[in-house]
Amino acid sequence: MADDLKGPTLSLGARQRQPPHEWLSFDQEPLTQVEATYIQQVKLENLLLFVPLIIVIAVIGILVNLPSLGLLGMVTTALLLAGLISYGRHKVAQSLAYGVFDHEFVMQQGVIWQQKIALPYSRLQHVSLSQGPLERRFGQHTLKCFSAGSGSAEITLPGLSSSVAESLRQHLLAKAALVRQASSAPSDIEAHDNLTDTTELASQPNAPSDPATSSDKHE
Amino acid sequence: MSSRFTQWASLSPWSIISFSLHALKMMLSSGYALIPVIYTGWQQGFSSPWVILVIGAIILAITTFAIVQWSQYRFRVQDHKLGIKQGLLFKRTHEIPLNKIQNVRLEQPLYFRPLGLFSLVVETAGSKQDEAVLSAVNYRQAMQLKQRLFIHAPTQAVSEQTETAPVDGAATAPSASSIVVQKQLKDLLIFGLYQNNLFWLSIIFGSILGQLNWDKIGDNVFAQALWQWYQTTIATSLMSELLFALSVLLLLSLLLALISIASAVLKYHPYKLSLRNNTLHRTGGLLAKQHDVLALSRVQLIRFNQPILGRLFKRWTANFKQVKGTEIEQHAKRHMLIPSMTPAEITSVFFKLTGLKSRATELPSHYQGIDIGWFWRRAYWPPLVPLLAVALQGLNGFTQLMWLAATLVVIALYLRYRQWGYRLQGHDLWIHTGMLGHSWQLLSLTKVQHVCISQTSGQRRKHLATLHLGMASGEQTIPYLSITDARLIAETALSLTKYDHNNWI
Repeated sequence: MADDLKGPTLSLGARQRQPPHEWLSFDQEPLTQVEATYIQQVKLENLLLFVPLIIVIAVIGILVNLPSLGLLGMVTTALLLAGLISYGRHKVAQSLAYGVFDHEFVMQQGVIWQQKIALPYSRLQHVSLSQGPLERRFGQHTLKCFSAGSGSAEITLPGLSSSVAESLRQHLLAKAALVRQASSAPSDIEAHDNLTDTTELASQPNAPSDPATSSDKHE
Repeated sequence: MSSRFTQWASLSPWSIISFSLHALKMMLSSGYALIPVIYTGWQQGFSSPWVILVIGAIILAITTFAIVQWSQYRFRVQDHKLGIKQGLLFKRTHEIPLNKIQNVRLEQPLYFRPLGLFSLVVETAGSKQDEAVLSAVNYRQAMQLKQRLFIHAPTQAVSEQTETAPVDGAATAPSASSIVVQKQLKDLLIFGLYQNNLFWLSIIFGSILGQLNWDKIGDNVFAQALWQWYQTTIATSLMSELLFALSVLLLLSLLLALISIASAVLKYHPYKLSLRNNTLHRTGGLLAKQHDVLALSRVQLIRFNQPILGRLFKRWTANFKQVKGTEIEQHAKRHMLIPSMTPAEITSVFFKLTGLKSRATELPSHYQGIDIGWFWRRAYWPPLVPLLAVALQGLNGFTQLMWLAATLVVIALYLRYRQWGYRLQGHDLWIHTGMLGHSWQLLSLTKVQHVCISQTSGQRRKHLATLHLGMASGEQTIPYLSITDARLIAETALSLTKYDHNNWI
């Protein structure tokens, strides 16, 4: 466990030493809820999604001369389903929370399956912020954190206000870079190797158009 | 290092062959839509000169295309980067940093065999389709190129390897490397036999076919004669009928086993795995000689697999899994494996592979099973379907069949539950899964990319959780384990990755 001994000397803001009974696992730490505006946004999304759909269903039912009982049944089912899905989406939006810790970024999501995901900064390769049309209207951002492998995001966190989102992205990237720099100090051959790699990549002026290197840059 | 390959160089003209075959393959794979058109045209009678003309035109087009591609193809190795220029109209330039090269494969397609030429395939992580192929290089060139490309591992052994091997000597490893494992023909025969997944398929399909097709082919004279023979000699008693069915099935599965054995031998035959500078080299293959290279530090997960037949022989197959989502993994899945390993062999091999992040050298003897809750949660669904069917239709042949299917599913679920478990050994985590066969997956917690603890409210009451470990090779899941164990594994992974910035992929 030489890595652990290294820790405190690295001035990475190591946590205070605590006796075992006070240890909290990452899934027990308190987290920050996403913006209340985001829940408003999800409500509006639900409306925009289901109101036209139900109208269309009703109109089609009338056009094909469905018996009134059948029409009623169909619209009721559609309404019930829409209500259920809207409620589910609302609950999921309420369950979203995140936390920024010394060494990992933690996110919570899910109602039935309540998930807590922890992503260590040392495994963070790429952070992206995106904003859809409705999100722009509400001033919300979606943060995505990527690591290696499948190409899909490890963490997708919607519902961040502009100021939080940008500073969070900066913070995550800075943390990832800090881990990289601080750990390259020890006389680890591989570590040295990797540092030269990153600087080499950073100073490489060419080829944003080049798929091989541009995708490699994220590593 | 030498200044070879630093200038832009073109490939040997022989590579036109591989370029044209590649173009042909591309055309065929994207031209499926044309097949029916051609077929109907042919049915209604193409006049034969046209067919020849069209075929001639296609051949001419492909050859021209290949020649143009060859004439525009340039490559060099400079500034720790492999540069490739290609294309006439759509120019493409690749620059692959050498340290991002994951794997260098040496292939000898059949058409290069008489010429003694090879294709060098350079695979990188992250780029989906941008593996570079340098075709039609001779063995000496290939070896020198490989040295140049694989210098990111600190080496001195590489530089002394200037041997001029015999042209067919892809299988001869350089002297500086140590042999990890070699497989005799017998081992590969066993591998082909036990790895034979078609065995079960043949049993299922054999019985279905045996029932369905009798009436349809009944008109055939030969079939009628056969039926006659069957009626007079076999169908005299139930016993002989059963015996006949069994022997037919056995024959069919034996045939499939033979195919599997033959393909195993053709693919791997002079199997040799050697180790040099913490890089694994696998050579072998009767039809197309392959030379695979894999840096040990790139290994994400090792999967020891034992199909049901393998349990009889007590043999395991070890697979090395790398970063997912690229072509590398697909190639590696097929190629980077150690077939037919006895438990003793596993120990001796993994004792030598010190470059791996995982330390374990033998399979664990036991595992901590998951909670029975996993089974109960799933077990009551399958009987629900036939129960509903019986309520609607009453008990008849069809619903009885449904009951049988539901029972089989429940048994399968139970077997899966029994086999699912885990074992934490220091920084290594073993995950055991399986149904009839079984497998051990060994992962080093230092390679974990994210951890996720998931709980339903029912699980929370029982202090259980589902643990997901995100690896570059894919997500690993342990369901229904105790929350304390889940936290222990998750926190171990987090504390290991905390300051470990080393490239883990």
